[in-house]
Amino acid sequence: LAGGSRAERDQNVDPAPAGGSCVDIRQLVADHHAVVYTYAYRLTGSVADAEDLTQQVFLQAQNKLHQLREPRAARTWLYAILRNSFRKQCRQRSVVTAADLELDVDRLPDEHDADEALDRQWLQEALDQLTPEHRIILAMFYFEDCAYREIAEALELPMGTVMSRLARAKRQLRAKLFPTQCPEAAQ
Amino acid sequence: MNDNPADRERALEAIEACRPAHDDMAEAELAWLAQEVADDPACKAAYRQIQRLDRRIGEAFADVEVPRGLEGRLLETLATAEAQRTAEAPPQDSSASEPWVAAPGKLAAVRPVPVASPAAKRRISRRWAVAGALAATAAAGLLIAVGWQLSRPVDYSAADLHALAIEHFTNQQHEPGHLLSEVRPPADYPPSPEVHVSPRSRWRRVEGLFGHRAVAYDLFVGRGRRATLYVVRSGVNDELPGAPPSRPALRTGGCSTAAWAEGPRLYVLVVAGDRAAYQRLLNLPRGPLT
Repeated sequence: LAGGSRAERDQNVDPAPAGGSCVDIRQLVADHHAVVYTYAYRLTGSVADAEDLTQQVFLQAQNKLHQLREPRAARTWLYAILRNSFRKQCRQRSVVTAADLELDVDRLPDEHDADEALDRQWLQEALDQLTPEHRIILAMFYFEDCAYREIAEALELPMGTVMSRLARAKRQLRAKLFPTQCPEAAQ
Repeated sequence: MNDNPADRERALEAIEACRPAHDDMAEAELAWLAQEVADDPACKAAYRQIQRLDRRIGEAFADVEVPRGLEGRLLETLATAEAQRTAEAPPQDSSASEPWVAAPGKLAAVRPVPVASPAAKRRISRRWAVAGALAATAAAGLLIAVGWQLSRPVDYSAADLHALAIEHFTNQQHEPGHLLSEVRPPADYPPSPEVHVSPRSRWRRVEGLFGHRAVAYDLFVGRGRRATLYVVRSGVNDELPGAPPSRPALRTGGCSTAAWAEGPRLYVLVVAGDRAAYQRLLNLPRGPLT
């Protein structure tokens, strides 16, 4: 079996800067701004909000650069800052009502063929209908490629809670994206 | 699939959490799931369908167009923020670098200037030589004692440290200390970089905390709340973590506290409030999902 920890995966993706632990913020931006923005966009669902969030992430990273003891784990570290900033932002904004979480089916295109590539905007519109907590856990699973154990550790939640929350979030997303193809529909 | 609804839900949750070619599960867990999938065609079909849809969603997740010029705009914002921070840095007050030693300027102002004849000067010189030797011996002894005092380990268990810190925090009566943005704290007692210390925080010296000299940073947390970070120079205490734990080690009397060691320094953070109040003061990029 392959896999390994996120830090190990970071090592495969991001070579450590020569010379050890000294990290340059400009290098950090150059190496990671695209993935941080992508993550931010999937959480916020808006280009402007995603750019603001990306900016916040790197501003915090600049202020806390001394905390980054292992440059190889930079991406994981930036993702953690991003998740926390997003959650803080969500808490500060007005509470989303249950009615807002209902999927507006008229906005979604017809269901795609099972093997056709999923349209990125279609995915975003479905994600936007989920709660921020579910978006975070889905992003950690699909985008960060985290195992549920790593999600539990990062979010400081019991593993059982993560498994059930992840299962619920995935089912909700599939129900919106593939209402007739998802396994739940067949049951 | 198993007829028991609880087992069925457990199997479905495990399928959802399982990523192909990853060691997500313990061997026993994996063996159980493999048996469930093998024994039940419906479970097997659900597993295949979920893996297929997961692959499609995963691919689409990363498919986002990054705005043009984003990197340049980010670098510009960072440069502006850094320039502002440098401009707003508090002035350095070298006289406050060690609170237990008076500033050199003040000593010079009160020291008498001797005026005497050459003979008297020689007698005075001999007396000064003897006195100087005695003073040097005493000073050396004092330095050794102070050095021992500073470097000896704090002779308390972690549990005692937490309890004593909360007791001190709750019962202390003191004058407001120096404003951090106006007077620089002693260099040997810096605040921990892991704790959010606003320039509006204050610092003061504390004598005899855990049998040592200490500096207390009364953190600015707003809304009438209180939090203090104690810094003690001590030897290594193996019982303590090397960074502030993400959760307080002790919560009692409406206070949360934790102790940790960073190099030759012992830090104890006491916060009037719960775990969330404690965590808000940490600079760590982590926290519970709320």
